[in-house]
Amino acid sequence: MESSRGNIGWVFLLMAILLAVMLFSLAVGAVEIPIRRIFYLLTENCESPERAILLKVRLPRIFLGLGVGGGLAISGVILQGMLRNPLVEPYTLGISGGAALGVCLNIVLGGSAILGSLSTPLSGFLGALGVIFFVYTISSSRGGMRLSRLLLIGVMVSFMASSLIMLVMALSETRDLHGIIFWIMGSLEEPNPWLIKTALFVSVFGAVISFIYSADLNALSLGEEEAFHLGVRVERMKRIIFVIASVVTGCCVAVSGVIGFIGLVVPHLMRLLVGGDHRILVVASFISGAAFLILCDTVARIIIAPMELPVGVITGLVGGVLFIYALSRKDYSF
Amino acid sequence: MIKLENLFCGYGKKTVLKGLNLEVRTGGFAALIGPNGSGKTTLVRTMSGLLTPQKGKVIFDGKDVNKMPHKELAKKIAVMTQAQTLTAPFCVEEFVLLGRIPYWGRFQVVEDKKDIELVERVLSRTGISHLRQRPLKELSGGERQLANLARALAQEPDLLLLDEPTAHLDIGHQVQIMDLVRDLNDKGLTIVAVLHDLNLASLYCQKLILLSDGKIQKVGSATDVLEQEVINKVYGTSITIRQDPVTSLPFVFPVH
Repeated sequence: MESSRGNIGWVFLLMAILLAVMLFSLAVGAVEIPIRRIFYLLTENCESPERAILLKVRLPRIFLGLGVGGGLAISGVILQGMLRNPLVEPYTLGISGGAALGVCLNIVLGGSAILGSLSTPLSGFLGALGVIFFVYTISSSRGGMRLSRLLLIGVMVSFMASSLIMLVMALSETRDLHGIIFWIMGSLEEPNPWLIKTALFVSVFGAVISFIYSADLNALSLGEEEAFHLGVRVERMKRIIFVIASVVTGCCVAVSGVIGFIGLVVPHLMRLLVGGDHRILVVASFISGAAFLILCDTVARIIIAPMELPVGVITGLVGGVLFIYALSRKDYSF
Repeated sequence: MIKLENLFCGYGKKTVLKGLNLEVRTGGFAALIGPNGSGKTTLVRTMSGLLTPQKGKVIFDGKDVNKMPHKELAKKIAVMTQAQTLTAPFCVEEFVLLGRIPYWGRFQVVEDKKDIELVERVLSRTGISHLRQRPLKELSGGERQLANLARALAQEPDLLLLDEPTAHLDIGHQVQIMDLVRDLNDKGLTIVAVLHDLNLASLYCQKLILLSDGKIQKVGSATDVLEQEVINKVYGTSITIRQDPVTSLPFVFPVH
């Protein structure tokens, strides 16, 4: 159809922007590396400190940004689409709260003494899983999963988790407090390449599943009854969407902390740009979520170098400003 | 085509439909009439397979609708619900294309040539080709209902269930929709429509099904069903019935 063909153009443009952002992120930093030299260093097998910076420092961050940014964005899109609520984001369902609580407990209880550096992501993921399981069980009844209930319970669990985090923080020592606060602020710095690969793999996998279900998501955005009449197996689909969004978000948060705003703002910006068709929306959101996070992380890295800002500061500020600007420019409703 | 056998249905423990037996034949055009709360919408939801009966069965072409696979069902039965609140962020063309989803395999997300041709056809059939790029929420009530009908037709159904297709429409759009539906019926599509306007039902439908308190009060032609005493009793009001001079069908007038 004409409109969707026009929108595929947007996908290519966003792809180009993503590549440009990645190159920019490779080039800038404490050591500036000209772009032409980047290609040389990446293709030729030579020993040089610059090559080490690219491969060991900057590239892993970019890959993690790709996974986390893209993953949070598609989780936001599919949850907003399923719940038909524009204020939903991956963190609304309490997943981030659960992960943060897990990490908090881990830091205070000294889990790293037993498991080493893996204890943080592991405890984060376990916390997220716990919440997912809890929210899912409570909001499901014999008749199936009730979406309004899911949302309310998610919000309540979020509040409960943040109260518990406050409790843990009030009882913990200064040294631990520092660790907790830094983790909650979120960062793409992750020394373990295995974790980066896992996060990237999970979020790409989630994006593929979301894409496969994108036509059904379109049907569901008319309402559950309409979707049933279009042959969608509504209950099964709601479960799949919930699990995909939860696991992807859980993984992202476990590896990189609570990086806010991407799951809320990117889907809305993309809806303004490419419209409500999830078949394009999912792809566009993944690409632009990744580009947005990588860009914000790069800015956070260089703006007050050699110090680094928490990336959440940038995502919130830039995202908020962009979003308000876009809203005021165009007549937009969900 | 579609047959109800001793059907009991409702929500949770509440029973709305109490023992319905009914058959609509292939090519039929039946109107479901009855006061608010008499179970018309519930009956549509049960016939479409959305609700599972508490007792009894809905049989479509010899098969129990609740046992048919969802996609199979969506290729046979299309439902046009009361869509005044339709606010999905699609343009008309994208919206109508949703009607093709039942025909797509698990891994198909993009329309093929046949889908595009079909969307084209139903858009021109319903006279809204010129609106194809317009967002749904910018449409008027009448246009929206036409788009809704186009989407149902894109499913290429054998049976079309309409839940108050003319609600909130002006008389011009009411007639436009009903004429379209009758045309479709003439071409062989079986239709069951919930109608509030008894005169529209009289004018367009071969068979009227009068529901009251979850039971069928009367089934038959307009002349059989639209009887002063029956209507007065069921609706709890007073009306008088005259013959339309042109069609000689019964017409209902309220009296004070």
